[in-house]
Amino acid sequence: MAIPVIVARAAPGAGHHQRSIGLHPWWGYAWALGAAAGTTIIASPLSHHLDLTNIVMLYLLGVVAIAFRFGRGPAAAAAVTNVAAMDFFLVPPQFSFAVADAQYLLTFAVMLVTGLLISHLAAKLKHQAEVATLREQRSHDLYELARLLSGTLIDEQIIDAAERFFERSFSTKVILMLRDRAGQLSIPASVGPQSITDTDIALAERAFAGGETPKILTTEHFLYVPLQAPMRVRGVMLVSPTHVATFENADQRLQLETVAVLIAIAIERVHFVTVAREATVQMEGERLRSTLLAALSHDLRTPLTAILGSAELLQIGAPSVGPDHAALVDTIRDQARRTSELVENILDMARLESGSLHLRLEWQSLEEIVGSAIKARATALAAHTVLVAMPPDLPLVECDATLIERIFVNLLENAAKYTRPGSIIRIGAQADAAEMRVWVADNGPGIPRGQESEIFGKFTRANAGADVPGLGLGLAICSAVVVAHGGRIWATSLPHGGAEFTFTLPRGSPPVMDVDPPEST
Amino acid sequence: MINVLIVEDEKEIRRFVHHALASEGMQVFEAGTRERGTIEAGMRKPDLVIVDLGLPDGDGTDLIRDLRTWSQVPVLVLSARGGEAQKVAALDAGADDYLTKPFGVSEMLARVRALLRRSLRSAQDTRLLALGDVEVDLLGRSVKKRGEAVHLTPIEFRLLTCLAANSGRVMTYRQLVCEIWGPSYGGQSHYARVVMQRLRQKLEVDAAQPRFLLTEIGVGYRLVLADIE
Repeated sequence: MAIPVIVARAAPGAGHHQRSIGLHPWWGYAWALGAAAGTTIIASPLSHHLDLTNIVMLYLLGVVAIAFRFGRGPAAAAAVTNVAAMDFFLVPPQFSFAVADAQYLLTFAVMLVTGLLISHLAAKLKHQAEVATLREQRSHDLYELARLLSGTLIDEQIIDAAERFFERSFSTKVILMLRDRAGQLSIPASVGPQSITDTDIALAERAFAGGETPKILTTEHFLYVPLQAPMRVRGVMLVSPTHVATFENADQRLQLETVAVLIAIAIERVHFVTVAREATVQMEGERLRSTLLAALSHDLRTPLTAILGSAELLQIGAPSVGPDHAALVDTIRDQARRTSELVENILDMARLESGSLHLRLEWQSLEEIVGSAIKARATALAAHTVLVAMPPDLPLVECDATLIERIFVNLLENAAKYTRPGSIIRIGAQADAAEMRVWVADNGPGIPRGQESEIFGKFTRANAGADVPGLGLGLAICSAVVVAHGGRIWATSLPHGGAEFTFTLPRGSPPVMDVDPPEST
Repeated sequence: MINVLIVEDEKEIRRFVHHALASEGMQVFEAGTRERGTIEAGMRKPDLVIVDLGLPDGDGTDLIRDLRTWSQVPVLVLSARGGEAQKVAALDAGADDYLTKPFGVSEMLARVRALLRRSLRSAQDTRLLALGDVEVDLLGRSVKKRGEAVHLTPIEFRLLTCLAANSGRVMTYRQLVCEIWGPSYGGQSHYARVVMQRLRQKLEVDAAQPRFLLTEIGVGYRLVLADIE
């Protein structure tokens, strides 16, 4: 019969096993002797009133108790001692091993056999109960591991879950070497060079490259368990055996293999999730690129054609050009500027999209940023009136000034483009405890109904095709900048006509400062 | 005759800057690398140096730092947009002003003239400032707006004095804060912002659209005395 090894474990709830194992085995035999002595002492005064067959029952009770408490050995010892004690103390003639009546020999034989039988059965029962508890604990640990693994999104979480499982269930360490992008085994960064040798790595490589049916390799330091997932081997798990978790018996082996499969499947799932996400990003990138190319081919070609044509006309020096000379030069300059602004927006968008954007957060004065944006677009706004109304005690706000300036530049540019000359653009701001609200409003035609949120998309423009140049990137940039700051942006049409763009910036916790130090001079 | 040195690796940009400056009657020397630029600066003793920050053999900022060890010649920096940190580094290294590419000829000429004016004027003392309706007496420490006295706190006055002493130049936040509050406040650029906000509210007609106390976003402040045309 295969006997599962009982493992002493530090796990809570497993203390039951620890107690039976932890005591010195001689205690069991001492108790066996004690039980025999105790029963004899109790039974002696009763022997005159009770039949000896009933006293036998008392002795058997003792054997059951010892068997249940201490297992087979002490119980057998108790059975033998009981027979001897009863013979010596209770069976006439007393204080002698001689037996007067031969029928007592049968009693003793039955008593001994029954005692031994009971001890065997009780010990087996106890053992099965212990094994059942252990199995329950193991399946619970496995369940926990499976639950943890099902929620993992990156390899590091899997490694963490595996480490915790082995710590809890086997009180041992585990190292996961996973397949990297190049298909090679890589050592996780958390594993120091002292805990893994070149030999270990070589053996792990061998377990990893085990072919169709990878096998567990074993040395005294590690077990090298291949992580075999449905598609391929995903890595190797290095488990260091300890005296309580030798992984030599079938039960522990089975558990180890189960864990390996669970981890391998989790790694494979994470791998495919990553692959799928990258594919999505790439598709999105492709879509963006084709839209960008389409937009560029129109919006850059037009000004470039004008520049090229004007420049060549000037070069030929055609006589008819004469009076138009200045106009041609103006065209070149204006179109070049327009091209430059387009390129700026494309670069902004690319920077915001690439994810490499690093916000340079400082406590900024909004009024200052607005002023700078108005100055930057002074030419475009020459025919418009810009009114800025901000409370004089408007607090500073933590933001990246150059990016927030781009928001105002884009909103002002839009206002200048979509409203008639002479229109009024109002800029205002208000702060409450949680956030700063900033708005840019005009008295132009407003936003076409239903397009209020659509216009923030890339390459989308209100009244697309209308006689207004642009790529439709401005508001997308605004939106990306605001979102990067943890704010919101939205657009509304005003009841009396005109569009209003509002965005918020979180207030954060403003710095404590005393700008007026005591005069030292 | 005014000598100008341009250190820029792009031949096209060098050419149009050269023509523009020559048309103003200036003598222009060209250098395409940092090394050549340093040599030319020592040889020609220019009255103004224009430096592109991205040079093939090194950073323009290093050239400025070298230059500053022996010369106070005004330096105008050319840089790409988005390179605020680079601009600030160049200004902290001793550059006087910057132009963001792409820039127009008229803008460049205006900056060049302002810098040359400044280097001539710095010899004279600037005791009185006129900011539109506002008159500032730096020595008498008094400010008048349309004849009426305006009260400035000591720290506001110090910011104004500091900018006035460097008028036309871009002063980075770091330079201002170090000068006014001390080097240990170097990273706390918001100190300058708070005081600037108050100063503008007292001296400018429209604090949000200042005419004299200008913001160079992400970089610093500049006091402009005569509006750059």
